[in-house]
Amino acid sequence: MESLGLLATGFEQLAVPSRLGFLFLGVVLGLLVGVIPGVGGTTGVAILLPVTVFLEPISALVMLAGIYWGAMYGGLITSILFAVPGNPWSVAVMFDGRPLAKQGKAALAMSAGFMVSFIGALIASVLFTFFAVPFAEMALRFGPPEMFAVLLIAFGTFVGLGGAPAKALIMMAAGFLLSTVGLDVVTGRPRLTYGSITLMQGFHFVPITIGLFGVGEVLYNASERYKVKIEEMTRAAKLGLHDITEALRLTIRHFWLVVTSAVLGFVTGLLPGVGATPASFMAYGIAQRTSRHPERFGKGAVEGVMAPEAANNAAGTGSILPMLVLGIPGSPTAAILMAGVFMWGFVPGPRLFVEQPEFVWSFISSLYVANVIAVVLCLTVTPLLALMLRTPYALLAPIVVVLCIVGAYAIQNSLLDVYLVLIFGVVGFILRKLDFPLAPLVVALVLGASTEAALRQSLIMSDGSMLIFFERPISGPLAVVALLMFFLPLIQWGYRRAFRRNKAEASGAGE
Amino acid sequence: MTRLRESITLKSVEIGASVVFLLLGIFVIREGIRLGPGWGDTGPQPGFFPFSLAVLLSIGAVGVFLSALKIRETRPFFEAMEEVADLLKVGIPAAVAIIVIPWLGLYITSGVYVGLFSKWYGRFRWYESLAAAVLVPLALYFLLRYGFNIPMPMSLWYSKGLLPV
Repeated sequence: MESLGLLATGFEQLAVPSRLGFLFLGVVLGLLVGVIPGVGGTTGVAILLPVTVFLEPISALVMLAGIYWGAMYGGLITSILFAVPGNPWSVAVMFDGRPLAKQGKAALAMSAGFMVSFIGALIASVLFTFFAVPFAEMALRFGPPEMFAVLLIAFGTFVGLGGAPAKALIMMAAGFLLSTVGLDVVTGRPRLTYGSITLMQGFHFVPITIGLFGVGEVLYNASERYKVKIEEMTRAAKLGLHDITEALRLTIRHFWLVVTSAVLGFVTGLLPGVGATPASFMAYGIAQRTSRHPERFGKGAVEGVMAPEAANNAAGTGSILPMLVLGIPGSPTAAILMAGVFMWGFVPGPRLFVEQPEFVWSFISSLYVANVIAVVLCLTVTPLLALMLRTPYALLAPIVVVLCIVGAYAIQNSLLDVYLVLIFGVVGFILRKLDFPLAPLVVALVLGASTEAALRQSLIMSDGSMLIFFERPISGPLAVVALLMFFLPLIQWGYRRAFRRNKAEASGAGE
Repeated sequence: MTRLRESITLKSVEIGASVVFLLLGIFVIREGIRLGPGWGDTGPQPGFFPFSLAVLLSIGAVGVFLSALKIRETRPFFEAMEEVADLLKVGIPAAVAIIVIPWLGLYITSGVYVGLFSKWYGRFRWYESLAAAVLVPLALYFLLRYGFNIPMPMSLWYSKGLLPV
């Protein structure tokens, strides 16, 4: 319970008006940065880090934390409103968020998303506060085999979801193949580049997803305009508090889903190198699996927004933990925060807790306060944001395309990425029309590179033996879970066939 | 025109797509063989994943091809002429806007694109479109260049020092 006492001192430190002011400013800036597609937590924090140099350490740190949180909330807005997933972890949210927006329920989707982000981050902060040390030690034992097992689970949650198996297979294989283009991880040889230097940088998944979903969506809307005009649907939706109360009701109804997604997100975020993205996909997959109406997913199921959002905010909190406690940043954004910590003369690690408790605990208490500020801010602004959807199509469509260009270029200043947006926009439109499921493509693309790297590093460690995944104490159970998830649909299918056969025999014998 | 549209059936596009995927698969299989498709002594060789994934891709493509052959209905891919018209009206300006980015830069392109498109497709009045054409790049400039200093493609005139965008 000493943690509570320390947490209280942390809050005390924060209670200074100027510090709260900086926190607020940080959240606003973070929101702005998070809304710009392609720029998200990492770039946003990196850009705004120099701004904080002039402040005293605790103010600077809480402002940076505010930016970090604001950015996490901001990504939700562009995914739902414009179907432009500017952040990797916002892709899963978009699967159901965008259909909800098209049905005129954008305000509901966003309110639910914000609330659930808050709860997710809160749960993660509580876990952070009380279990910092044991979790950190677990993070230390994490190596490539564990990483591979976790990623395999992420894939497993997507198996058996979505349409015709042949088409899903093509999409997953294509996604993986796209992720292999470029220089080989282990040997450094160029793969699938066909002699082109431009292709050696590989395909970053953000331009591809922006193309598939952002531009693809614009084209899809265009093709439907003679039937359905989006502005008219959204105009019919009323603005007001009832969306927020409805979102609250839904959050309470699905409370356990939110809590499990948050815990899942926290644990995944805490593992170095993994982060919010697999967490959001896993949460989405699990939500669909455990839902009573799985067929509603992809067409506007609110749980499809709540689960990934809770997971990715919790993961965002979790990824800071190894940085602060061990000095090992679990994600690129945590690395930048760590740079900030160094800048003010502190050394993250176990000694920081002992030597500079006010600093550490103000940071931890700022996690709570920043979230409260962010969620209140977002909820008040939501109706205004939903209003944006009422912009006339002739104005909105070009703006979305421009946002897609911005998002694509912002990643790595490459014109190839901008062209990829166009190419995949057309491809995405055609695939959608032909009923090819896009989700497996995206998941394979996003997680493909890290999965292959983890697999090959593990095999190097074990000199080629696949048993390494089962021999290690942490990856063992994880690998078993992953295999179960892959074979579960097969087992279920087999069960159902046997059950039907039994029933047929019984009714046949009964005659 | 309608006859042409109706002759492009969903079935034919699906068959076409599966053939494209199959060709891609074969392409990558060749590359995979070049890189070494097997399992070396320290795990998979660089070509292993491309090869096996391309094999899976090809299998899937053949599957889709065969099931597409069985489709009986002749539903057209583009369900109505208006659909084609709207697609072209939205798609071509978007494509042009993206293609000219290296020459005109983001800010000029966005202004011209938003202005012209809203005037032509949305039939806005000229001063409304002009307002949009000025405000959108201005907002972008303020946020991206002035505010967060995120580099964006700039026009040719910028590299010659003639214009600030």
